[in-house]
Amino acid sequence: MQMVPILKIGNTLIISLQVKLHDKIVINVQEDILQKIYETRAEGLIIDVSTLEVIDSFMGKILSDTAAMARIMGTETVLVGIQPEIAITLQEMGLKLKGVHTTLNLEEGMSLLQNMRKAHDGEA
Amino acid sequence: MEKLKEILINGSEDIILVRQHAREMAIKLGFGLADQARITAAVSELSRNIYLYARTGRVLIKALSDGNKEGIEIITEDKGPGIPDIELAIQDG
Amino acid sequence: MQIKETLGISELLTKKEREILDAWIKAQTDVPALKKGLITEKEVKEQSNRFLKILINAVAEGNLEDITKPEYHEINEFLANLSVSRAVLGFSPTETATFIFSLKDTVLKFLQEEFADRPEDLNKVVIRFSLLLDKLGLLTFETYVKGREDIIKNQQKIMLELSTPVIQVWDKILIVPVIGIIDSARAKQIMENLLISIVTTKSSMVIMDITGVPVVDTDVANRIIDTMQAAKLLGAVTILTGISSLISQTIVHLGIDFSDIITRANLRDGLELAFGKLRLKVSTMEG
Repeated sequence: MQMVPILKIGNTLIISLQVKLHDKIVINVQEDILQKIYETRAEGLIIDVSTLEVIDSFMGKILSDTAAMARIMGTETVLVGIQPEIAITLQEMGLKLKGVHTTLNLEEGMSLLQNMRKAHDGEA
Repeated sequence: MEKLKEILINGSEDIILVRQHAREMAIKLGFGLADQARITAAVSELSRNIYLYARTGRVLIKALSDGNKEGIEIITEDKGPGIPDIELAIQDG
Repeated sequence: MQIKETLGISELLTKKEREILDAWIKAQTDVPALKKGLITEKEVKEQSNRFLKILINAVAEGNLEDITKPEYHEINEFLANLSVSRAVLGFSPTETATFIFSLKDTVLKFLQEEFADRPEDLNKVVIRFSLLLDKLGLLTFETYVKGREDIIKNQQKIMLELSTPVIQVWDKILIVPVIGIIDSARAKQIMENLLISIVTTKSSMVIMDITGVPVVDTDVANRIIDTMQAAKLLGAVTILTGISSLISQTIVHLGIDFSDIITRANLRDGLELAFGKLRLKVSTMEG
């Protein structure tokens, strides 16, 4: 069951993480995302975290893991909308979001995915 | 304003509750956005530790004031083999 | 014995106040500080006049040893104010202490005259008076130093409060000209300012120029790297510019990993790179 709606625009999946996400729900969301990627063969995943009031070590790990799992299935992930104060906290806590691209907002995120696709197609 | 808030930790949903209360307290004490984020993150980590390693415990959020400065104190306790953990957080300028 | 010596000094000062004052003022006007015009002759006269009177009062009590006693309270206050005001005016510590030491020299000459026929007493009197004025001279020196330290502390506070500006030089391009020492308080401020600017201006390029940063040690380098990483979380790439040859050597010697960091020699080159990354170029207008 999908608790958080996952949108599809072209070849990109977009999901917006809302404020109050219990740990269990977060894990379900991760599963939903990966399932959707599998079904749609999406090339890009955008996770919008602009309404998250905190990204702690748990959430950080979930985000990194999700990006890693998505990449294995051939999908690049971009995290958009990290709030400045959260960026400060992440930095101070030494939380590294490994393997995740980050942009200011959705527009930039889509743009980044496009560029990555172009570059990738160039190589192939 | 309530000066003391106690939240019991029994499940992972309670972590969110703790965050909420800590943030509310921080806002009421006049902490800026950056400090609010720091406090919320710290509290989140502390409560999660209780949940992960002791299953149950409680978190106390206290408002402090010495006349000039305001501060917030977070105390976590669990019944595990652990020790009461005191986090004296940042002081409002 | 004691009273006799004290009376000797006290008597002399009172008896020859006028002459001592004149001689003392003359001795002070030979000092470079006056020639520099840091203080006027009139002010010197006034200060000396006042001090001599206060000294006569203090000494009259018979105590030439302990300057912490109440009778010296007025003198101590006077000298403290004098030192601080002269520090502010730009006197050197020696020039300030000269106020006291020139008086000592002057009075000693008068004492020599007065006690010319009593060499043993002269000895005792000279020693006691010298010791007293030395103590006062040292007090002047100490207050001077403290006054200077307070000024420095104040200036440091002001400098810290001057926040590092974050300037939007073009759409999506921010410049952070970092000048001065980056301690942890300042680094925090710079980080917060920068991140907020990135969000409000929707910038994706940050050029951080550290030409004005004199010292880069491991802590400073880490703080700079932290700021760049936090900016990255907001989708902004940072280009570091203005690294001097000395700093580049320091960074390598300290073993700090700069391989992931984009750097350019100067702001101009950094800006060129930023434009390039945004697929922008500067060209000459036609006609």
